[in-house]
Amino acid sequence: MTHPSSQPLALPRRHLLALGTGALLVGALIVAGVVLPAEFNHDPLGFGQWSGLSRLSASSAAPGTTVALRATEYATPFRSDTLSIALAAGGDSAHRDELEYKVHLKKDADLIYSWQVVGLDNAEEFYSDFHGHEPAPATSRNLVVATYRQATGLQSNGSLRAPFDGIHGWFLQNQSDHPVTVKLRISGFYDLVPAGEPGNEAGLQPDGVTR
Amino acid sequence: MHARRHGLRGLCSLIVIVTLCGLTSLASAHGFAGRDAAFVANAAGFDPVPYAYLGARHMLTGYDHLLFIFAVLFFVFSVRQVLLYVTLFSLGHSFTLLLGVWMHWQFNAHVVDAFIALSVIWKAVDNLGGFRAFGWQPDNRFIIPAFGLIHGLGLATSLQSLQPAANGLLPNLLAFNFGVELGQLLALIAMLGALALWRHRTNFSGPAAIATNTLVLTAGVVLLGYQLAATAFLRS
Repeated sequence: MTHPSSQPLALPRRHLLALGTGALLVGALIVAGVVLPAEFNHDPLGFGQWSGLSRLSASSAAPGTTVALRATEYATPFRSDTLSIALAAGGDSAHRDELEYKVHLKKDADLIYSWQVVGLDNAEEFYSDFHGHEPAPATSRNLVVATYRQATGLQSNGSLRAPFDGIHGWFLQNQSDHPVTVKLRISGFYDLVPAGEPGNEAGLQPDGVTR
Repeated sequence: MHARRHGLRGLCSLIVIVTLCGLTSLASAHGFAGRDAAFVANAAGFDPVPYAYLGARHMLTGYDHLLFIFAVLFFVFSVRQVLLYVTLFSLGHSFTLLLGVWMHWQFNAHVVDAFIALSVIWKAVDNLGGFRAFGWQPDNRFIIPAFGLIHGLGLATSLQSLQPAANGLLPNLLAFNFGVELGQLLALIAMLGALALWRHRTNFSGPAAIATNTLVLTAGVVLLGYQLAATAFLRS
């Protein structure tokens, strides 16, 4: 089927050049003004800032990667506890100069912590090992242990997202020649380990429950 | 006056079509969403229907493919010519799709997509008579399958980004390719219908044809800019 009006276009060169230049300019304008700010967080013309298009890309965590940004919900209730942990002078085996205190965290549960050593000036004389492992393993072999932070120092502030279901906490060791107190504050989605059970063999109790 | 009104109507409906295609976000046009990646990662063995669906959807939401097909069809009037060019294009993209995935060719997706954008620009310029005006008419019987090869590389790259399992790869690949052809056929029918209506009612080679192809050219420039920016700014 041929159509009388269906002829190929035959425009003068002048018109073609004008059309091509126009298309190129408009295209470049759209790319620079809209695509770059909206998709790539670049704003050469300032139009993205002016129009709000930049907000589309400015807040994305990593351009080009699909990041599932979502809230994490927990079955475990939120709680906060403060503990005062008294430790005897280092080497005083008659009293307690080191202990472990852990709490139970389910996998991916968050814990925020902060502790300071009171009564000590030398940061080299206090050692801590922040770690976690599976709760009460049936056999000691294949025990999953994760070490988070081993250091000397008089304070530590941070947070942990538990890599697995288990007990997570600190081995605290006083190496100085006088007794100290560790002020520990924790918040998050954890359960306390009952006194005497693994993770709280020392039988510590929170100062006052502030749920 | 009458003819011009119909021409404008044709142009408007085309703009609507292009805009609708553009509504699917730029980011998802060539990547697959995480859910699809999860499907492919978990799939092992022959799973033809989901793969065919992914292929069809890739074609129908990939407006660079659609724009190119539209530009190819624009000045093709006879059924024989439509079949010829569509077959050549399909042969081209099937070849590199199958071979690329089978041989694990690794290309930067944005570079491949930049070349696909170039194919849109090329065909729009060709439609506008931009090559003829300077004394050269490229032979579309060679150009279109050549661009088909590039489009197939794009398909191969995006399918590979899903890391399909080696188990049942070939039949799944064929199913994906079948889906691509199916999606292309659907798009073809819609476009040919719209073009037939337009050609039937109006002075087809008038200002609306010029405007439409200039629009396609501009869209090609934007796509090219997008892919070049992606190459420059995104670490892949």
